[in-house]
Amino acid sequence: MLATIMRYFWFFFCLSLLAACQPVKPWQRGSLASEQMQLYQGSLQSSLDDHVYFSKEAASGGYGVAAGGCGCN
Amino acid sequence: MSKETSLSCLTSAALALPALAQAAPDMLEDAQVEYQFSYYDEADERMQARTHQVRASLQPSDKLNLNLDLTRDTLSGASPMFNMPVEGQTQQILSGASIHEKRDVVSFGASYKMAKNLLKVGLGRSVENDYKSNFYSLGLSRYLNQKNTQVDVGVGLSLDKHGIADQPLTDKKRSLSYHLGVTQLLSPQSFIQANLGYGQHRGVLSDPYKKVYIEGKGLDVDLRPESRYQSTLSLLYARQFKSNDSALHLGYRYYQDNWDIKAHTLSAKYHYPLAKGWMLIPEFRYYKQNSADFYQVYFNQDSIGSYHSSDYRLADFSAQTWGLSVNKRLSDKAKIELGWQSYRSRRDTPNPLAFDLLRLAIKLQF
Repeated sequence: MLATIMRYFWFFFCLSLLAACQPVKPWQRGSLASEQMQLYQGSLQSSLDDHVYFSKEAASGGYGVAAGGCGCN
Repeated sequence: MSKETSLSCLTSAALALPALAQAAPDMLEDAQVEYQFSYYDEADERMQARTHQVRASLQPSDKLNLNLDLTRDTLSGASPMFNMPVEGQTQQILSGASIHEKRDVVSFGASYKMAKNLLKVGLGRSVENDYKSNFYSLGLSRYLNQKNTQVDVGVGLSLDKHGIADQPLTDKKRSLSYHLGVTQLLSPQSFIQANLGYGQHRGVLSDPYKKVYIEGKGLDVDLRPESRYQSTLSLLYARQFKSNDSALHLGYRYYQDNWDIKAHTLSAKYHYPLAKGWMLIPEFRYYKQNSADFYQVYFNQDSIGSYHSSDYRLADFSAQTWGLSVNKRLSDKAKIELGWQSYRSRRDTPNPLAFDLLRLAIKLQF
C-alpha cells in the first residue's frame, strides 16, 4: 500500500511541475498572501484540533512531523 | 485514567506552512502574542477539559523567528473502560467520574530564512502525573521554480515514559516520524499541497487503564502490539474568489497502519469576509475508520488472541464535525475570534462519542 501511496504522490508532484509552466509572478501574489488563504491561520486552533482528534480517533498526523506524546482521554 | 497509545499528539504544523506567498502585512511585526481558551465537553457527562494556550513569537531580524508555546489542560470526568453483555445488550462500563488531571506542555521553535531555504528546529516537553514526553523536530523548506513550488522535509522524535498515575513511570515509548510535502501555486488565486507522512512507534503501546471482558472468564488487561507503523497521504487545496474575497479550503487525508486500520478524512472550510473587519468561517469535517485487527466489543474464549483491546477509539466508526467561527479585527494590531465545533460519531457500540468545543482566541501584535 505504501508503494501505491508513493505512486500517487509522485504523480501529483509531476503534475505540480507541469502546472508550474506558467509561474505566478511575485506581484500577482496579493490574494495568496491574504489572511483567508493561510492554511494554518490561527495555529493555536490547529494545534488544539489536532490534539482533540488525536485523543478520540485512531488516525493522526498527515500534515507535518509529530511533536510529542500525551496520555489523552 | 485512560491513555491513548499512539505517540504523536501535537503536530508540528509549521513544517507544512506554505511560505510561497509573502506573509500578510500584519504578520511582519517584531513580536506577537496569542492566547486561546477552550472548553471541551463530552455528552453523557463523560470528559470535560479546559485548555489555556499561549504563544509568543519574536522576530529579532528579518531572517530569524523564535516562538514559545505554553499549554495547560485541566481534565475531569469519566472515560470508557470496557464493554460487557448485560441481559442480551452490550453495556459500556465507565471509569466513574474519578478523573482529575492536568497536562502542562512547553515547546520552543526557531526558524532561519535563507535565500532559497527555511530551516526549522523545535523541542518541547509535556508532563502529566502518568505521562512524560520529550520531543524534538528538524525541518527544511526549499523554494523552487521562482518560488512557485515549495518542498518540505522534516523529521520528529518523541521519547516518552508512562504508567499509572502517581507511581514510577516504567513503560517507555519511542516515536519517529518523517514528513515530505510539496506545495504548488496553481494561479494567483489558488494553490495545492500534498503531504506524505510515515510514523514508527515502538515500546509499550497498550493502555494500562483499559480492560477487555472475556465471556466465561471476566476481565483481562488491554494488550496491543509493541510496534505501530503509520502512513498518511494528505491533499489540501485553497482557492480565493475575486468576487467577494472569500476563500475555500478543501482537504483529504488517507491513513493506514499495521494494526489494519484504514481511515479517510474529508474537510472543508470557507472564509467569508464581512464588512468592518469581521470574518465568518463555517467548516465541515467527515471522518471514517475501520477497526484494528485485534479489536472486539468484548471477547469470548475462542475469539481472544495474543493481542486484544476494546478501546472504542480502535473500533469501526464514522464521525461528522460541524463548526462555525467568527473573528473581528479590532485594530491593525489586535484580533479576537470565537469558535464552536460539534462532533458526533456513529458506531455499533453503545454510547457513541459526541462532544462540543468552544474556543476564544486573542491575538496581539507589537
